Amino acid sequence: MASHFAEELVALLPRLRRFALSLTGRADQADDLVQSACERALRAQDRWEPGTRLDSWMFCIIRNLWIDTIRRRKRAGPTEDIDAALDLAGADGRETTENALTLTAIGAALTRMPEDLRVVLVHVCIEDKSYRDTATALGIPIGTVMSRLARARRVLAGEIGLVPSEKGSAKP
Amino acid sequence: MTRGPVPDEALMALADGELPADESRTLRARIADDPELATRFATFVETRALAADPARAQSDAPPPDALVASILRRDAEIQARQPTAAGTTRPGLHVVSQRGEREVLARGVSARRGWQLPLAASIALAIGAAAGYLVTRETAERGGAVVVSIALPQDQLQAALDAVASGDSRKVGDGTITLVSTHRIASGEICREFEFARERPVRESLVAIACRRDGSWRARFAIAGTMARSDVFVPASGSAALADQHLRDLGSPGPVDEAAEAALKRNAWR
Repeated sequence: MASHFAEELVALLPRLRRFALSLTGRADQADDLVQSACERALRAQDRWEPGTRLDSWMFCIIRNLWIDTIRRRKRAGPTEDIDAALDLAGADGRETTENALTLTAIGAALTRMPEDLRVVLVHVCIEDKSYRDTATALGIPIGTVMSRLARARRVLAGEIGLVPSEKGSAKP
Repeated sequence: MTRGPVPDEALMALADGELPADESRTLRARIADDPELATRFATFVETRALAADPARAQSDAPPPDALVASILRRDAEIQARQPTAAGTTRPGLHVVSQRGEREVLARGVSARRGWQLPLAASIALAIGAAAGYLVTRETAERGGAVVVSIALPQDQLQAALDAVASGDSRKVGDGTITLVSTHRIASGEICREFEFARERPVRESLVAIACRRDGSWRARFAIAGTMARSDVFVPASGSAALADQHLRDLGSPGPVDEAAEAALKRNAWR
């Protein structure tokens, strides 16, 4: 019988696949990435803090694995395929966890955000509106939508501790 | 073609699917070759993924069987290495209403960590929106953490609460909502108790109360009815009992009868 944690992962798959597909741009690479991340997560499940967001923990693992493959491919040269890179990433037992988000972190960050930034973020990222539709709905130019959206996401990333370091895969 | 620095907004547009196909391809090729660019790009993808409505992904094509199987296989291997696996005792369950009241439904000790309810679709994104997200959330200071939230498509949920009579059901999202009863509480608000159940991606059910205010239904209370795991079972009747207790605490004299409910519905639940 599947463990509770494994059932959680399976239930998260649609969102993990969406995330991985956004990162990689290719469905086959995305699913490979998700599979490796889930294996990594199962081995490291004791490091996940109950009561925090499992999805954000998984996004962090997926993101770190993906960036690792890019680093390795760059070092190894263009002939190394992504499967080999993922195998290597899986074997080295590198720390990939952290970034345990509380359940209210995003909501709280949004509440603190300036209104003009939050509104754009809600339209695009929560209500899935296009930039153009958001611009129309708010009566502002698309360029303004984009600059506010970028600022909103940078602010959000900073607030929840998602600031990318120079290394990229260590501390979130 | 320029190989200059890539502005944040281009990365963001790629993350949001707003770049034309040829620009997307070009930019992805650059990202695949540049860890720093990839890191910046990933931040835009991640902030969107964290803020997004979790219900949206449920309408994607289901994951390939092979992917699910690989996870379950690895899980079985790991469990096989742990002969004293968790799950043999009944964990404690704390119910938390939105007003912070706590009750304990069942006590017990988890072999590993505290009680966990299905968190997979459970993102508490409370930004003042009406009941598209059913939330009873709080990290318990003691013992296990309990979060119950199943994201439902907001518009479908609102419509169901408006239209479905108590005792009837309707498909909402990837499951079914069944309306249980309607109450007028001490504040004068109309509240409706309902259950939501689904089989995929995991079997889970929820008993909840939503009250109508300012033209929309807002979640007041929710508790898991059943768990995905069969060895950790909270009978739905227990959840319903707690929901009923909560309604009494809110000052309901009991459910309204069929005729009264029909009248309320005609009057837009006022």
